[in-house]
Amino acid sequence: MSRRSRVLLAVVVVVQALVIVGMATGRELTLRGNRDVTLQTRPVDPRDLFRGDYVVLDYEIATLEMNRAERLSLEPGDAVFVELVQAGDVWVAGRVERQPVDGAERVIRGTVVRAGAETVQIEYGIEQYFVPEGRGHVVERAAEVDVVVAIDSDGGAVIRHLIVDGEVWDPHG
Amino acid sequence: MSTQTDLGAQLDIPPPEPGWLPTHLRAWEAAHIITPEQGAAIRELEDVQAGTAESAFRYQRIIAIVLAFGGILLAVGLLLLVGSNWADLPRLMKVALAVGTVVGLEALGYGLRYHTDYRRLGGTFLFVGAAAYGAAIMLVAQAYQYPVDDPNLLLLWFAPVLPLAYLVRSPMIAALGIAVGYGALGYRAAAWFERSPASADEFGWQVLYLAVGATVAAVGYLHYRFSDSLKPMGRPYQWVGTLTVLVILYAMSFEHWYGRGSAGLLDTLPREVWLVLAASVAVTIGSAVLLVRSGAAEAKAAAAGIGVAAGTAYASILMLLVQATGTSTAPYLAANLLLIGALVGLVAVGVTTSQPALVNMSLAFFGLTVITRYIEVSAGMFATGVSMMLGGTLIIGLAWGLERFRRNLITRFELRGES
Repeated sequence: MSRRSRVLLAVVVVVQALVIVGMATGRELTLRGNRDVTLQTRPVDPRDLFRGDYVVLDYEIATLEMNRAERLSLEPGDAVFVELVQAGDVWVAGRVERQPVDGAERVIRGTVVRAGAETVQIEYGIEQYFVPEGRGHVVERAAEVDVVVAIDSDGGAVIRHLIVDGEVWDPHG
Repeated sequence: MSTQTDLGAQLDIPPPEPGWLPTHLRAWEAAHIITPEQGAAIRELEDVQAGTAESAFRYQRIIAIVLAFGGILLAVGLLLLVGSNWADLPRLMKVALAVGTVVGLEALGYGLRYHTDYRRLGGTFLFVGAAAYGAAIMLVAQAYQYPVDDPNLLLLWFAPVLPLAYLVRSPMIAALGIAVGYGALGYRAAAWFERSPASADEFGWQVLYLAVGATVAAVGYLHYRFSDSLKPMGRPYQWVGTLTVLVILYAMSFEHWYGRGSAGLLDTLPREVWLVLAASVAVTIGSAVLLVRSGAAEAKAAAAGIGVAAGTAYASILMLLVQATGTSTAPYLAANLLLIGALVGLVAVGVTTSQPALVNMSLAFFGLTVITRYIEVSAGMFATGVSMMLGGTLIIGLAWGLERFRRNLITRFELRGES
């Protein structure tokens, strides 16, 4: 192998390492921040080909009444910012805007997946939670599941952990 | 001898296959490069070692197959292990483990391949390293709860794997890269079709992957333009691209697809699929032109290979786009004729570019198609039986004619050599 090829090979290996580290860095920074919210959800339990079992989390804030956002004339694929307002132990949806909501304590960024006549469906990138093989059913059968989500200053969200029937859930426990 | 082997390894020259020497000796004698006495002396010398060389070559093949199976098993095992989410490890430790595994496997593979005599074993570890890189991406995505339908994960896997394949000259890693690339495109395309009306979803996927298959095959044949060490890198592209076109066309050869018509496909096909189609046409035509202009050995046959794959794919796409009549017979017949045409063309390309795999692929699809049509139309067994007998007789006649042509050609070559 020529010297040039050796250098290029080293570059490719370094790029691979950087991709892996880069994927972790942004999310790690969000998780190390101190802007958590607890969201209500209803889980189900499918499986991914590469990453194994996960629970699908259907959030209360994922389906919003259209009257909150009708002036925005939203289309599927549009990015939106949803204000989160604390209501007891959990956070619920407030105003919906195309830009970060002014004066809001917490804002979560989402993407419109459906805009019907009465409701708008929004995804936030936190709709799945990966669990060890065979453990998804514990979450699926629980009476009440909440999700603690870390949010960064741009509204990006990463799941920190689940609260199953009032207790912080240990997936490996 | 050992110096020659080392030089061969450095230049990536594959070892000669047993049986090549007698053929070449005849040609060298005919061209008066060596005398018959010298030829006899070489034969006498080499015959002593022929048995050993042949069994060594056979073992080499078996070892290559065993290593390939071992590598694939290890790679799939890694992915399944990640999938099981087995370890209660801190997130950062998982990231460190992922980076360490990838770099370690690839360093081990590099060391074995380029600094020891275990070149094939090194190649296997490099392949496992490329697969482990994908597993590492999935591990980090799992640990940090990336969305399950994130379209970027397979793209991140795909991007550095193909350069790695070329740097270490590994067709196996290239095949992995192409497979991952197909998956990455699928994730992207799912979003395109989700935004489109249902009619685009029905035939749009076929249009997309026919175009992609033609492009991949064209890129594969383009390798004939380059050095001998790069030519084997084109094989996975040729096979996967051609196989893609054949599989889709085979699926389309069933009558039940049609009759509803694809009216509206022209209007509802996502813009991105049109762009892929335009890029595909540009790449296939560009590759064929570059091949023909290069004047490289087998370049015309390779360009014909592009013609078969791309011609079949584009004709099928055209058929899908215009079959808005609501009848099922015309597109059904067209799909079957296109499939048969592609199989005949593929045999010709396989023979001229010395690729038995293409011929075997073609024959397998031919058998599959015949059996499928037999089962499909077995209600009218008399007519089917008669038409198949006629078809079979014609094909046997064609094969006999081809064999005569081949023998005449060889005789002509030998006569030219003697004169």
